[in-house]
Amino acid sequence: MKKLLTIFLLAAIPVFAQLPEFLWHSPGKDGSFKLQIAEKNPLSIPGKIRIYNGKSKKYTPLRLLSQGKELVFAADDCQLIVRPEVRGKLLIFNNSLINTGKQELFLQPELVFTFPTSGQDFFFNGYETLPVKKLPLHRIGLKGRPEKKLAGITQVFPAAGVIGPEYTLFAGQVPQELVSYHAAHLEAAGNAYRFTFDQRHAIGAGKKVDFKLIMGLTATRYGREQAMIQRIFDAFPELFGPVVGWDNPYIWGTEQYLVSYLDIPDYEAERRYHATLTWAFVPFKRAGDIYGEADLWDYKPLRPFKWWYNTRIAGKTFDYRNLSWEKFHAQRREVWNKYAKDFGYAFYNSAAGVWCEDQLAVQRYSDSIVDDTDKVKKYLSPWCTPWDQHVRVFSYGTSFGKKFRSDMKKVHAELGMPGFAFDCVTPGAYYRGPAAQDPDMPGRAWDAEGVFIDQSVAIIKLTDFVHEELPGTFVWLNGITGRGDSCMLEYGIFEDSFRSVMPLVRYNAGQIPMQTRGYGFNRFLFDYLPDWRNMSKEEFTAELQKLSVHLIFNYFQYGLTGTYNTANGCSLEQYIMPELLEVRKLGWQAQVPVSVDSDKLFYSARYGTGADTVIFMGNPYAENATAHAVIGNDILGKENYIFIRKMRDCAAAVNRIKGRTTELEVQLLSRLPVLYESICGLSSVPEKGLEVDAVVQKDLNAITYQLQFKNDRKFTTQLTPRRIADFELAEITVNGQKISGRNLTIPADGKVELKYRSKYFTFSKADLMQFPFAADNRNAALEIVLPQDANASELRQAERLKKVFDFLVKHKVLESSDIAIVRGKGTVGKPQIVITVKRSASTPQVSLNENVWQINAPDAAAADLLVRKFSYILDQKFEYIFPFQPRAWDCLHPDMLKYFDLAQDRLPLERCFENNGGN
Amino acid sequence: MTTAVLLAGAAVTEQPAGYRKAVLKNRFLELEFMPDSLGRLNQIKLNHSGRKLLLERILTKVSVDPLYEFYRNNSFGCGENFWKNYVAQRDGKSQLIRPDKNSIVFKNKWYGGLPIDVQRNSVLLPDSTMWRYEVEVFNRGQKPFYMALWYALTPDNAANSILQLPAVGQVKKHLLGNVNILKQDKIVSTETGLFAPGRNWIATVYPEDKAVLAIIAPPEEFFPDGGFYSWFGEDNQVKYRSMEIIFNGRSIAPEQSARSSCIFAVFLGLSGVKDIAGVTAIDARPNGRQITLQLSAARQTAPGKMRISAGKQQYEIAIPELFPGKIHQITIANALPLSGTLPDGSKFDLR
Repeated sequence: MKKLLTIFLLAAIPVFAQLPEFLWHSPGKDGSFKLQIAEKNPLSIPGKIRIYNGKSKKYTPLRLLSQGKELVFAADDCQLIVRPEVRGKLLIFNNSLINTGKQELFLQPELVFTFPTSGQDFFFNGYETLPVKKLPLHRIGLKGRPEKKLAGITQVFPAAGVIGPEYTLFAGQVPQELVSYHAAHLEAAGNAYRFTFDQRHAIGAGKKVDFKLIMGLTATRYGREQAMIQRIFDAFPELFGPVVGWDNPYIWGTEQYLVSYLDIPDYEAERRYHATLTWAFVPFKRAGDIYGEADLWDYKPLRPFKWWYNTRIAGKTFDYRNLSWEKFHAQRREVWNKYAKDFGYAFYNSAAGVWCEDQLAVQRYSDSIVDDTDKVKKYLSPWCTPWDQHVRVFSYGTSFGKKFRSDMKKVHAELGMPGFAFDCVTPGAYYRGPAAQDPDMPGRAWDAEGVFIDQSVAIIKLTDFVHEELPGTFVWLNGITGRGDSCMLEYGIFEDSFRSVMPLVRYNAGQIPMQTRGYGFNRFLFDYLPDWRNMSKEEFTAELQKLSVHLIFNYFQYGLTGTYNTANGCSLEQYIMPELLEVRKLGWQAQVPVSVDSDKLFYSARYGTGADTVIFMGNPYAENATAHAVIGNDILGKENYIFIRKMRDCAAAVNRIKGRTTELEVQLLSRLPVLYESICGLSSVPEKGLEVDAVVQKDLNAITYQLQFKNDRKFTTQLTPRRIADFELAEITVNGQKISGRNLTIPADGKVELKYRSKYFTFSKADLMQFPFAADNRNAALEIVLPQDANASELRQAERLKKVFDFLVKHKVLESSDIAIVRGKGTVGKPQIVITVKRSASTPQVSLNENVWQINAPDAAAADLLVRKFSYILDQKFEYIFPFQPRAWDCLHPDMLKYFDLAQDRLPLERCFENNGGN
Repeated sequence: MTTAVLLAGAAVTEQPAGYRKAVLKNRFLELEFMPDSLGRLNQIKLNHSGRKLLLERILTKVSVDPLYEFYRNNSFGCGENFWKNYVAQRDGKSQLIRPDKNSIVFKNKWYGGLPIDVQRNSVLLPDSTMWRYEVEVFNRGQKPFYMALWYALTPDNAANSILQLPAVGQVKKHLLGNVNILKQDKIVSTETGLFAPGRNWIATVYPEDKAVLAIIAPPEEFFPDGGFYSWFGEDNQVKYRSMEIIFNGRSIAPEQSARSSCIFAVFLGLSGVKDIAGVTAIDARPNGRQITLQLSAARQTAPGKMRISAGKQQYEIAIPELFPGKIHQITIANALPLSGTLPDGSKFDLR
């Protein structure tokens, strides 16, 4: 493994508290500055900020007028103000451009650098990482032309970098800025590269535009562009996480296509798929009129109204051939009131205000129509409402934008949905209409045809509108433009498109949850295994098992979830889902600082940072492997970290901390996901290193980590324990003595214990397994006991728990279930589940007292959450894996199911997160 | 110790792969088939010049990881494809039988993943520049199978060859769906898509090689519902224009079979084609007030009288034996259009 430098150097300007990885000097009189590495292999990168005038087609000379916290430069007809700032490991120039003349200016601020060539360099252009073979390399605009790999969902990452063997120089802009054009170029400059990142701004006379440019110089480690992406993640965590917050109850689960939307949803089935949100597709008659205004209701569509698969909501038909306005609203209110909150309905808002029914747009919003669609479509026909033709519109600063925002508020007030579904969120269409000519509009850029604003500016503003005006409402993107809380990737993992857009989409998505929505195995298998009918069932399912593992490894690698169409029958995919969801919520990270002593390639991913880190590794080969792994702690955080395999029951690992690395033997199980979790971080360790034997015991109610240190003399350290979902740290002991605080003195060969207790459950798995739900484990018999004056929430939770058992009977896990919901007192001696909500409990909790489960929750929302969690606990007692039996569409093809008699079959399951087979 | 983590698809490899070949040849042609690709025809080589007439099926092995490896092809090669059951991209191993040196048989159970078995005998007779596909399709499924055979060739290459697709104009409705609506009958050379057929053949001319490659459908299996298709594209930086022919459809009941046949031919010595009658291609070149007709046969034909109708004028011309590889040229004092009948009774129509 290559020895790499750790480079945290002092900044040249001490006024800033945060430290980049390089020395830098403020721009001088002509905008020139330097980024420097002063280690044993010193490196000096000349840089410059400069302004290109798009009208005169010349660079405007900069003259430094004043220098202080901000640098003021004069230029022809404009003034540039630069305010340097260090954030994380980045240098930011917070800039203002002021048009001091009387004409509109077309300006192109640029950061330009000279970087040495090595002959082994790469260029991350914001879209893809290319070996530098032939120069120049240009990436122009938000869609990454001219590479032409323009899958509809992609937009470039707003930074680029030249990646040398030792260092990566990168520059870009702050994500989610309202900028319609930026570009990156790598050109030859003698024996070096000239690397440029630029933006374009059209600035009216007397107007000012604020913009930010970022730059960094970092060691090239653990991949190529991953290091620079990680620096940007680390500098702007608030821009890469969910705006609605990390505790939003809807965004972190799976989505299951349109199942809960088209048909009457089944809470218990959805729970078992871990579904929490639903793409509520086209709850309107006419795109652009999402509310359904009375005066817009009757119109003549381009084609006759007809039945369409999405004219059914929760089993109720919305037949626009004869549906009155009054009935439409009544029906829509009814189904949304009934299901929207339980199933996370995200109101499909006419594709993020990108499309409007053509006649409506022409009649009422003609100023909003986007004519310059820049090789993307202007019209869609047919589309989500197949009777109409749709035209592309711009939803900010236009008549359409104003009405659309008002409509979003109206539907939200009427339907109370937890989220909005933003389809078609991509850049690439240039709006040049009246609003673009308003000098106060944001995101005004220019090209040879004049001023334009990219569609992405309107989308970003619309996502901001939701978060600002409808707080708590999540935004679910299909695409990655805008501030989303969740992101759908409408590709399957087997599609070429998937590999062409990943990991770019994940870089843009940052830490928010992502889902894939592809065709699953159905159509794909016909091409992948065209000779399937000449295969035996064993051969066929063996291939399926491999493909299923490939999916699972990709889910872990990119923090994705799939749908039933790959889960059904695939036992491992269903089994690993709790871990997948848990680690994803720690936040996907770009740089995985792990090296292993193997010449094979393994999957790997990192979730979380610092003491909250979990590392995934996947061995796609047919043989198990054990490898010596070295983890770069300096990438993870400020401490050194102790790792152990993340299991459901127990694990052990020997850690050796050396310098800023942790070394351990990792078990790379063949074709099974393996997770390593950080136990804690230590702020300091003995200079000669430290060996720690780590052991963990986990139960439903408690987790205990034991760290046996092998140090020959005492040392002092600050210990940062890992945050564990649904658990709280109860105590830390050193050699059995309870410690208050986090500062520890660890004696020679000291033993540290970290004890966690469940926030929700006070019973063990043994208690669960011994509870007499069913005397013979086949016929469940118990009572669900509610207070005499049971409230709605108590009744609702009782029904939900009853349905857990009903489901098990329906799917033949149990033969029968005799579950009575009773009020008042239950039958003495009979197994019971007693539920109270909004009574005396201050915290949600499930406890067990002999043969009575006591479920107490302080409020309805807490009860929802608690009973759902308890239901997952019950699943451990009565396990059910969905077989291949199709659910809606796009599972295994019926011909294959029938030919191999697979409908009730499941692929074999290896319980990779349990040591004792789950017992 | 190496950094060995699979980063961002970096491990995806693409390597060229190949198909096994099986060859039929005579003194004029060498036909190369692919037993691992449902017995598709991969290449036609002119023995006298070594010229290869087709773009070949290219196979690439894509390895995403050891769990997901697949082969990608460019879907070229001429085997049985079916309207509504498009299997041009699917490969599959065939059972190969060589009944004699002129024939090669490919048998496939569950052909291309479809619920059918296909057996095709390809016959290249000695001293001919034509070969025949004789196909039997057996429906082993439980539902009727709709068989509309679809043959496609991809000539090499569009810059050096000219598509000749005799389409009929003013057809607004066709069983195949949205055909190109042409103002009048024409020989299509550059348009793409579906076309209603004016004749039962589709051809590509290789002017520099003086050769015409044609697919000839039995009229009774082609009219009224058959059609032509052509697609323009680029493969491996070579532009191509496909020549494709779709037969009438018919339903095969479960456990039943159906037979069909199709002729492929290379007419040597021609640098254009106006019509193909039976096994003879005819080119016509105006020459002042006269027309020079060039006849090229794909197999030896008997001598006899050729009848010509030009307006109200009708007359006969003696035609000698025709041999493949040799053209027979006649100059007549007429202008186009004209029609007629060859000695073997097959009719032609020159416009």
